[in-house]
Amino acid sequence: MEELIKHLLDNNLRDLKGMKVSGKIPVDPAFLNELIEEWLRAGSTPEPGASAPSSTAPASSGSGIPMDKFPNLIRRHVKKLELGVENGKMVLAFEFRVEE
Amino acid sequence: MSSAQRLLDIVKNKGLQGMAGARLDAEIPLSEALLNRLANEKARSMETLEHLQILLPGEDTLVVDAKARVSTKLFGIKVPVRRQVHFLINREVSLSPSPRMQLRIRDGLSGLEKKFIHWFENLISRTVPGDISLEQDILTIDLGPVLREQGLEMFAGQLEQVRVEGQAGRLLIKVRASA
Repeated sequence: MEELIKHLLDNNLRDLKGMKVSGKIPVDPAFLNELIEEWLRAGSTPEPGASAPSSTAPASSGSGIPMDKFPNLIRRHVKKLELGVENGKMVLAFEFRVEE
Repeated sequence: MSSAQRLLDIVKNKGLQGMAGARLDAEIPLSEALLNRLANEKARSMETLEHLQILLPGEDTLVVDAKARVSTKLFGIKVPVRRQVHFLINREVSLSPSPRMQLRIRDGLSGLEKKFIHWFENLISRTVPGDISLEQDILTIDLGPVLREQGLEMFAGQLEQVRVEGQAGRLLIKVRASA
């Protein structure tokens, strides 16, 4: 599976022409805050001489998947990314499409 | 660790907590070329394999064209055996207890020595992800182990519908899920 993902990312999803993914994700503000907090904690760089911060996030799978390619791919293929409010809840609507 | 990897790890760690109401629709085409590339990469270590090609002529048909050198009963001489095995894809993937795709063998294995049939089963096991079982003429691919391996088993219960359509030159996978 990792080999497949790596191949697809290395080729900018060329082999997935015609792929469409769309959906809605309700975002609980508490979850969003927790996500931001964990993100910041996991990404914080220790001050010189300080001990490394502890992290509750599991260790990376250490796979060969080039995760750094995700931001560019998302920018290229995301057709819609909208944060809105539905029934008092924050909702993230998205559409991802690889043109044929 | 990249920020994208970090986000993925956090989401995996959190699971579906706080995601109630999420919906997802996806159409994922897998081209014949991509399937052949993957299958040949996986089967590369099979010394007896001389040729492997997957063909998608359309109408939910998948053809595996394989050539192998298999020892015969006669003095154990290795002779080349070439077969095209035709499968009919069952469009609906059953979801419980884990996602299982089924293909019905229409033609290609009848009249062959058991040795070749075992070889063919081995070929399929090596090239297709998940647990494979061949009973009568039904080939079942259980994708549960693939989800577990990727730490994504929690998402299996959110799948509403998974369909696989065999179109000319590609497999089209349609997924609908909600949390």
